Formats: sequence, C-alpha cells, structure tokens
Amino acid sequence: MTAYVEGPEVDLMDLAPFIEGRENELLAALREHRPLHWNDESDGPGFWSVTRYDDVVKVVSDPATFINGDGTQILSRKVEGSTSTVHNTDPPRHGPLRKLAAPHLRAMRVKEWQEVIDQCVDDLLDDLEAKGEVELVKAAAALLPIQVLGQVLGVPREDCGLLLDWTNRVISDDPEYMRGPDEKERARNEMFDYFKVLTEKRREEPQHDLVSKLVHARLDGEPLPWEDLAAYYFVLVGAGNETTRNLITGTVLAFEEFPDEWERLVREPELLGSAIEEMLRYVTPIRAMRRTATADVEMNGRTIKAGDKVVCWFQAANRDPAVFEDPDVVKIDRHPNDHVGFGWGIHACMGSHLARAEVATFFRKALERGIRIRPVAAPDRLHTNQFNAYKRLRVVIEKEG
Amino acid sequence: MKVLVDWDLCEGHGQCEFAAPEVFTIDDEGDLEVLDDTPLEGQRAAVEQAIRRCPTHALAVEES
Repeated sequence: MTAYVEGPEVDLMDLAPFIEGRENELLAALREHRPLHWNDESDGPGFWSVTRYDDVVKVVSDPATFINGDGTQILSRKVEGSTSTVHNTDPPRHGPLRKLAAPHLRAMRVKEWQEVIDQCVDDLLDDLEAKGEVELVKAAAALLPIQVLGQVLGVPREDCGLLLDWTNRVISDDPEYMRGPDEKERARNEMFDYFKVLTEKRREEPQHDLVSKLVHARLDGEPLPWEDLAAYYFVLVGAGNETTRNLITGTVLAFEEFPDEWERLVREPELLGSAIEEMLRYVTPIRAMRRTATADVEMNGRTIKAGDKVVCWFQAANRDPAVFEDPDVVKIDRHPNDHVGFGWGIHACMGSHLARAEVATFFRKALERGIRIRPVAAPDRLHTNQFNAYKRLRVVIEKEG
Repeated sequence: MKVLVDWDLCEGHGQCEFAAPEVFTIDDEGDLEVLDDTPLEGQRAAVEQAIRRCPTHALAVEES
C-alpha cells in the first residue's frame, strides 16, 4: 500500500497538461500513488478523482450511491441548463427514459443507417483526396458525425452546420468558441428554437427519424413534455458530436505514433473492428465523467463523504496496467479489451454503435482506397480537461502504392 | 450452458446484444429477447462479456 501524500502538486483543473498532451503522465501518477485523489477547485467545492479501472467500474456500476442527477461535468454545473437529460437522470426514471431512444440506436438498427454513413464517408474522402492536404477536423472529422446524426435525427443536411456551431459553443469553455459570457445559454436557446419547429413538423407528419420517434413516444402513458424533448435533442446532438470527431482525429494521430499497427491493418483489414476498440481505449474521447455521492463511502482507505463530487477518469482506467498489458501501446488485435471508452453501467454511451459504425466506415474506406492520412503538424487541442478533443490537425493524404 | 435473465432487473440497455449478438437481441420497444438460451460452447466468451457488461446485473448462466 502506498502512503498518501496530500498536496497541490497534481491539480487536474490546471488545463496546461491537457492542452499540451501530457495528461497521461499525471493520471498514471495518480493511479499508482493516489488512486483516490482530492482536488481543490478555486471556484467550487473540490472533487475526488478515481483513476483505477476497478474503482471506476465500481463507481459507475452503483447508480444508487453515485448519482448523475447533480451533473456529470467536472465543474458544478450542467451544460444543458435547467432541463434534465437522460444522462443526468437517475433511476427509477432513467431506465424508461433511455428506452425511448436506445432501441433506435442499437447495433442492429444502426445497420439501417449504413448507407447514409457510406455516402457521407465517400463524399468526405473524395474531397480529402482531391485536396491532398487539409485541416482534418474541419474537413472530415467534425462533419461525419454531424451529417450522420443529422439524418438519424431528421435534420436536413443543409442545417448540419448549425448543429456543429451550437455544439462547439455549448459543450466546451474554449475561449475560441465563446463570443460572450452568456454564450452557452444563447447557443442552447438557438438550438431549442430550431428543434421546436422541427418537433411541430414531425408531430403532424412523422418521418423515419429519431425526432419523430421521440415526439410520438410515451412515458407512463403521457407524451414527453417539450422540456424533456429538448433535453433529449440536446444530449443526442452534444454526445454525437464532441466524441466521434475526436475518435477519428485521435485515431489518425495514434496510427502516426504506431505506424507498424497501420501497416498491419493494411495487411489484415479484418482487424478493423478490434482496432477501433483499441482506439476507443487508447484515445478515450471522453476522459472523465462526474458522479455525486449520496452516502459516505470507503475507498482505498479514505472516505468519500455524501455530497462529494467524484470524477471517474475513464482515460486513466483505460491505461491501467492491472487490466491492460502495455497500456501505453496501441495493439490493434488487443484481446480481451473491456475498455471503458464508452463508459460503463446504466449511463454507458447510447450512441456507441453509431459511433463505431462511423469510425469503422471511415477507416475501412480509407484502406479500400489505399489512402493514408498523416499529420504534418502537432494538433491544436481543445482547452478542456474533460474531453480528449482536437480543434485542428493538419494532414496530408498519401496514396499508398 | 443455460442463459438466465432476471426480468425484474433487465432494462434493455442492450450491452448484451453488442457482446453476444447471436444470443441476445433488443426489439424495437427496447425489450430484451433471448435468441438462444442454450448457446454452444463457442459463445461462452461472448456470453461472459455480456454478463460482465450488463449494467443491471440481470444476466447469468447455469451450467448444465
């Protein structure tokens, strides 16, 4: 047992290591020496950080003791405002609420969207090949999820740019996207105004899309009130965007770091499925989610008090050497690979199948075309500790002979 | 092996469907359907992953 050393030397609210890409060293130190770490906050009550795989799974598997209802951001606030999303809803309401959308995003259903995904990917790769050198996030990584999600929801393709803009402004605190102090609220309101119109259209004339399903869904025999619909749209748009784009960008970076693994994938494309799982582990687009304790809990010889914030670092769990051999190395054939890249437990990512399909299609088609996407400069990272997110990555498109 | 579902616990999260699609499926209402409640030995790893991944601990196997 390692002795605990309290002190300010690891402050996960300091964004510098995250922006510079040094965060894994910090998280590894915590996981090894201070698996339950108290972090002060300058403008909040402070929070515990949980970094070991088994501890993270334990916390997220116990939704009675560790609730989402007080928010899941590290900061003491909810990006969705006063409305309560399925993500920030606890049992017993959570299960039935999740069931309204989850069946339409399940693995078998996602196959119905494969044609849409194929078309989007083909268009993007045509564009990339024609240009030869692009900024990947803007040219492809951010577009694919928003275009696919738009069609799943029922948002026309020409309006997908709006979805992207709202997401950027609502989810992060990056100064680049903030035009003023009330930016989040303004973006939220613009998004809700848009979806209000779409909701009314689908109420009168349902289509084969998720907005139609939600508008006509019933919870305890009643249709969802506007607040619940709005919260649902919000979480789908946000979660569908600020994640998959970073998995695509992160995967390009990871293959540059481990070029032999890309070569192997070229030779053995049947490993694509397990390669994507490995990238979910290695990249971990959502670094952390927060819970709030409802009771005093003993963990690693310390006491989490009722009401304390508990941050589960999926990124640290995904590199826990107790579970993953050579955790800092990409192995596209890693097996088993019970990563927590989509979280774990009742709040595990509802869009995981869609995300997998999008990213797998993107790289499958790149392999089929014999193209390789290679970074030519270091990425610009989003200024946040909660998402492993990229603002820009300059790449060249190489045609393999 | 025989697959057991505690129907009072199952909320249709569908993690099992991803882990073992030949054994579990979720229908359009979001309810679990067991496609094969006595899967062959070749499905064991997949079924075990489904059990581990089930958020409500609704799944188990009984050895025959």
